[in-house]
Amino acid sequence: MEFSNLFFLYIFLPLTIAVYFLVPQMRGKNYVLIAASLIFYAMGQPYYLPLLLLTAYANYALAFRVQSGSRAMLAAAVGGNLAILCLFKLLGQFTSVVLPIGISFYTFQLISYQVDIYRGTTRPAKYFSKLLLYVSMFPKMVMGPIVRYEQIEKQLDRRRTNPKAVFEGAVRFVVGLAKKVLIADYAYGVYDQLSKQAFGGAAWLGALMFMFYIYFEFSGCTDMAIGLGRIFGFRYAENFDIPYASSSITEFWRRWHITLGSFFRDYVYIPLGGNRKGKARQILNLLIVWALTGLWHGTSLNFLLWGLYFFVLLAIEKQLVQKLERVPFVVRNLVTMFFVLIGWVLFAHEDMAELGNTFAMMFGKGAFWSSSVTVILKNSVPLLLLCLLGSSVLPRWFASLWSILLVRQKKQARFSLLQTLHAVSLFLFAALLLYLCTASLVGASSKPSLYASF
Amino acid sequence: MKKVYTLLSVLFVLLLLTVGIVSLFSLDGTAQKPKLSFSGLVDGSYAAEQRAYYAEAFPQSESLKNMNTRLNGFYKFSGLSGENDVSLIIDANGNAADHGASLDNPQPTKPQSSEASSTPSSSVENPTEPPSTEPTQPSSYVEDGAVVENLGAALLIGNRAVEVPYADYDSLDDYSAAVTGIASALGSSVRTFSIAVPNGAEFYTTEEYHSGVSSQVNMIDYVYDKMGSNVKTVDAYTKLAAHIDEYIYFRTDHHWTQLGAYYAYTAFCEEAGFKAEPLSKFETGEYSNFVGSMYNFLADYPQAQILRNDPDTICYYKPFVETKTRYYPDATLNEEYPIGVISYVGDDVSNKYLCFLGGDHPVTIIRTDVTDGPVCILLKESYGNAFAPWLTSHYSKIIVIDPREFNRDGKPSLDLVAFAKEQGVNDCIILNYPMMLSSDSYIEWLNRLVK
Repeated sequence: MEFSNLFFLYIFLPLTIAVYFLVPQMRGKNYVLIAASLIFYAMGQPYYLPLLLLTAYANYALAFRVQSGSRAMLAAAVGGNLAILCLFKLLGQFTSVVLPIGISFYTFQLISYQVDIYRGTTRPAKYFSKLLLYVSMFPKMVMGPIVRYEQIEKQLDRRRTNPKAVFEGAVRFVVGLAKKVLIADYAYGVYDQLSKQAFGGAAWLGALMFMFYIYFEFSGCTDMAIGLGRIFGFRYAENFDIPYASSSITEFWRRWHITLGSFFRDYVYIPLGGNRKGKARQILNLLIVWALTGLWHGTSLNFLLWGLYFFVLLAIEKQLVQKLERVPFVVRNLVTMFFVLIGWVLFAHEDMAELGNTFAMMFGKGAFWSSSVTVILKNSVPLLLLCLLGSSVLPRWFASLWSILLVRQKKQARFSLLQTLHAVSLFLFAALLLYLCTASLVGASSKPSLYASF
Repeated sequence: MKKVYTLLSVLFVLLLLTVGIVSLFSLDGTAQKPKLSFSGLVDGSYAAEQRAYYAEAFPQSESLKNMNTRLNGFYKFSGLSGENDVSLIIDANGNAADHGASLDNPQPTKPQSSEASSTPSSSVENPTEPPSTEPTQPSSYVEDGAVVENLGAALLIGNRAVEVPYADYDSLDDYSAAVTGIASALGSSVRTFSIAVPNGAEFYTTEEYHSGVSSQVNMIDYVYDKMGSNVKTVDAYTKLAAHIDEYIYFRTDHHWTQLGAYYAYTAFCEEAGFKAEPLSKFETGEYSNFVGSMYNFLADYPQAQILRNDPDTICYYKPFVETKTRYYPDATLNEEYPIGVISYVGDDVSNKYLCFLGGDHPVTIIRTDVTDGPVCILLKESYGNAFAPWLTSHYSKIIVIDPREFNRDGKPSLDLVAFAKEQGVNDCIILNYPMMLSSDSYIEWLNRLVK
């Protein structure tokens, strides 16, 4: 089930929150969350519920053997999770079998669980219900972020209900919803429209719209996940940090899908030797990491190319790092975004012929512009501005403006009044966004989330 | 401060909960509830349908609708366009102008006694009530499981909205093959005519929208070239092109006017060997204040208000021969309902294009008093409805068939060859507008008539 859906928004979510807070004990709350998560999952793919439960149980049972330091058991646990993931990715690629929702996220979380136990940084979950809650928790089930067990292990047992966190979580959820419904869905609509125009200009503009779409889509869904997590007392790792304000590809990947990058760093790159075994080995390690990053998104050739494309860019960038530092920020940012945009073209087209044709149009094949592209561009001016501003640092500056003002007033008597005013204004802002999202959702059905298929 | 956060958090949940509870008590009753089944529960389709049902039945207050229109105005901004420029361009997919069917609610005549005759004059002047159950306009061209086809774009240019088709040459090949297949199946004793007609985008847009893949004359030439020699092709295009300064296409609707259909009829007469009757022989009448399907399609965009503020007028031409017209829910012809060649449409009916044959029906038969006149079948979508009245001067029986209404889920079956034989058909006329020429679904339904 999608978060950006009226049923989730006005039936499932408030009921779950209400029951959750009415149940007194933490254990009871956890059972409410497990039940809600399983219902949430069953409302999408009930037939894959046994797979989820079995995978969770197998990992629960194996973890105790892994804890004893058995390398074979670790290999079995990691291999088993990977085998399930690969099997479904391949079946999805070559047959009509549908990919289980969230499988890319939950198998990676379970791999991190087993490896961390093997490394001794965390202990196996004592009860199956605890691991099941970790695996199935609906806020992060579908679109991540990839939350490591060790990061929330304590929160699974003990977490305090903090009214401020609940409120901030609710606001964060609505902001995420607005990013998805009020920006990403519309950006996708324009992208889709442009992709039917056989002009170079339409291909460039379409790539730009796709670039914005995927950012607002994915970061919006992450905001919703983090916000929901906060409501229930969890702190999930951040996944995005204004990636389009990056001034290098390296920086971009530190700011984009952070939990996936850090997963590959900690569980693949470093165990392979990282940069500790010489230059050649480091390059090989990077190649493996980027090929896997691409393949994590899908087994189509374009995803592999997309991963390798960034491998090549990063390898070149590493050689030029000192020279690049002298270039003004704006230029570095624009150049970085140019390469990121080209990457999104690779990402967007699973059909190789279509991909080739898009690149051909972008780089000179056929006519470049038409008056219909002008009309689409004119029609999209406010959306483009919204995308540009929304993906820049401005929203964060604006949000922190209040905080700065409040800090300055800390010792003044007006502090609590200002704080109340701040909270109320946030509430009203969230209510307005919710109203706009509802109007948009009522007007047209929201597009399914892209990352829900990973 | 803790209290403030607690209060606001509780308010937030209460807000969601209240909307949820209120919505459940005021769901739109017209939305179709999903049926519970074991397989639906297991494969997740029941839950998905429940969500879709809730979204569809969610109470849409005026304020929400208005806000959605405002949002569309924001996301489809046209502030930079001049008065006669294209101000809005959106995809015309399977939900657009319903591929030829009007978007308005079906509101033609109510089934009445089959004894009632509807002469030209009575059918216009005696209002009949809307039906409640009869199949009329296909409510949606896109059936369950069907792929929504992208057939082109819808654009607003000045005070006119048009559908711009995109040629898909594979589909055009298939269309030609389907028409040729029908001609072959009917055999040499039946003359088969193909009339592929342009829509308003061909004549009332800037060049880009009627050139290249959107050139309708190229599409028509292409399909005609590919048709077998057993198909007589009718050059309606040239006749229409010669009269573009006349009112031959609506501005707020995707159809042509009856006058536009007349020029196609004159081209048909040349090909079929009839002498076209002059316009002056026909008594005329008007339905004003017609805001058609293109407005409905674009109504969620504030720019479309220009169409609402400047409605079309339908000018109809009544047959001068006596006619008796019935429509039938299937090809057995066991159940029949009277209708007019030109029907009365009241002020409460916004889709006034329904005045032609009362809209789309599976089968409509017009019997005329043309003595010893031949019999024809007209295979058509809604463009044919304004065309059929012109045929009354030449045929004793005109059987109008909508291929979309046969040989698919929930629809009756029709074996065209056997039916034509039974009815003593001499001519078969296949008339379509460009959005149909590239529509794989429509082509499939044409094929199924003779398979």
